[in-house]
Amino acid sequence: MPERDMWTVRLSEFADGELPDDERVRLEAHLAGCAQCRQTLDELISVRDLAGALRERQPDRDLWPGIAARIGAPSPAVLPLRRRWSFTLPQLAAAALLLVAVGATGTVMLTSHEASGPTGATIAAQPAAAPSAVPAAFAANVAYDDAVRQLNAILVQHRGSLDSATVRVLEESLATIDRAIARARAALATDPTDPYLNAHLAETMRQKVTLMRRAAALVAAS
Amino acid sequence: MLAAVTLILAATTGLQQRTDTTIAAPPGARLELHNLSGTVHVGTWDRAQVRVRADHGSRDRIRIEAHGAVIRVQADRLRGEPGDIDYDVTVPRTMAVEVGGTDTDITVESVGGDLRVESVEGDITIRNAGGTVLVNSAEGGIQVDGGRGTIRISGIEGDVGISRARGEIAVETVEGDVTLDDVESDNVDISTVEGDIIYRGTVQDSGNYHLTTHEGDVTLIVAAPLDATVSVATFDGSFEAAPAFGVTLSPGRHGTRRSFVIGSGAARIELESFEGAIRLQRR
Repeated sequence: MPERDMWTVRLSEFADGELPDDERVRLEAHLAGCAQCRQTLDELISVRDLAGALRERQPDRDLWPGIAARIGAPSPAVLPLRRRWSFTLPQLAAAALLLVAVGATGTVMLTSHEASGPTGATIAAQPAAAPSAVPAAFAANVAYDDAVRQLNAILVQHRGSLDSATVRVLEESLATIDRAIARARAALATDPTDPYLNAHLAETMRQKVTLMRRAAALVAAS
Repeated sequence: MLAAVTLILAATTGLQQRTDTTIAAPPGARLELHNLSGTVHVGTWDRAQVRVRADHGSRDRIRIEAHGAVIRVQADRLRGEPGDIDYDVTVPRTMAVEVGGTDTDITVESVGGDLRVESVEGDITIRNAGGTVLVNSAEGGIQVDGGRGTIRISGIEGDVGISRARGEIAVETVEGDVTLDDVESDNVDISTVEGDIIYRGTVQDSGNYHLTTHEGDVTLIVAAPLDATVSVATFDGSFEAAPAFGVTLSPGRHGTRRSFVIGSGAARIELESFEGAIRLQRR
C-alpha cells in the first residue's frame, strides 16, 4: 500500500487527537512531505472546527428537570444515559444533548425549514432559559448545515475516485438517513416538545455527519 | 471444448505465484497488513515469528518489512495496482494486528492483542479475540464470535452479528441488522437506522443497555426474573412484553417515552424504535 494511503485513513483520528503517540509522530513526519494529506487534513479540521463552535454555547441552566416534570419522563438522575460510544464528531453529540435540553426551542429551529413555527408551550414555561437556548439551538443547526455542506463538497469533488458500488452504497445509506431525518422532523412538527423526538432527530443528524465523514475518509484513501 | 478450458485454466494458474516468508517478531510488535483485493486470514501460534503466505499474481511483489515494533505487509507491482492476493498469516498469540482491505474478505482468529480491521467491501469474521476489537466496514457482513475485550463496530451496509462476547459492545450501522447472541456484557450500545436489533443475553445489575433504531424492530430476549429500569421510546411503533415481566403499558400518545421498573431496577435498559416494534421477551 502506498505510504499516503496508509495514513489518509488515519487523518480523522489525528485531527481528533486520538492517535497513539508513536503513530502521531510518524504521521507528522509523513505530512511534512505529502501535500495531498495536508489538504485532506485541513478539510477535516475545518469541518471539526465548524461543529466545535457548539462548545461555546451552553444553556444557562439545565432545562431538563422542568421539561421532564411536565411530560412525566424520568429525570436523568434516575435514568442516566451512559453512552460509551466514541463519536467521531463529539461536538455533534453535544449538540444532540443540547437539543434535548432546550426542548421545544430546538424544535422550532430544527423544523423551521419544513414547518411553520409551533407555538412551543414549553418555551413559555422556561422564560429564563429561552434567550440563551435559542442561539444555542441555532448554532447547532448552522454547524450541522455547514458540516454537511463541506463534507458534501468533498464527496462531490472526489467521488470519481470511489468504486461505483461503494458510491451506490453510500448514496443509498445517505438517502436512508435523509428519509429518517425527514420523518423525525415531520413527527416533531406534530409534537414539538417531545424529548425523544428531539433526541432522535439530533442523533440521526449526527449519524448523517458521521457517515459523510467516513465517506470523505474513503475517498481520501482511494 | 474441454481442451480449451483446460488450457485457459493452465494459463491462469501459470500466472499465480506463492510467497512464503517467516520473520522474527520482537516483543510488543504489531502487524499491519493491507490487501487491496482478495482474502486475508490471520491465525496465531506460540512462536515469536510472523509467517506470511500469499498467493498472488507473478507481477505482484509481497513486501514484508519490519519498522521497529511494526511489521508491515503490503504488495505492489512495477506498474499499476496489485491484483487479487490471498494472504494466510500466522502471528504470535499476543500480537496486536491491523488489517485493511478495499475489496477483501477478512478472517482473524484467536488474536490476543488489540485488533483493528477495516474494509470497504467484503465480509469480516473475527473469532476469539482477546483484546479490543475495532471494526470499520462499508459493505459486507461482520461476524464476531467470542472475545473478552471491548468491541466497537462501525458499519454502513451489511448485517452485524456478535456472539459469546464478554466485553463492552458498541455498534453503529445504517442499513444492516444487528444480532447479539449469548452475550454477557455490562455495557451495550447499538444503533442502526434501517435495521432490526436483536439482543439475546444476560442483563447485569450494573449494566447499561441501549438499543436504538429508526425503522427496524428492537427485540430484547433475557431471562426472568429481571432487575432493570427500562425506558421505551417510539413514535409510530409498538411495545409488547412477555407476561413473565409483569409489564402493562397503557397506549400512550405518539412519541412518548415511558419508563418502568422491573424487580430492583438495578440495570438500565433503553429501547428505542421510531416506527418499529419493541419487544421484551423471556429467554
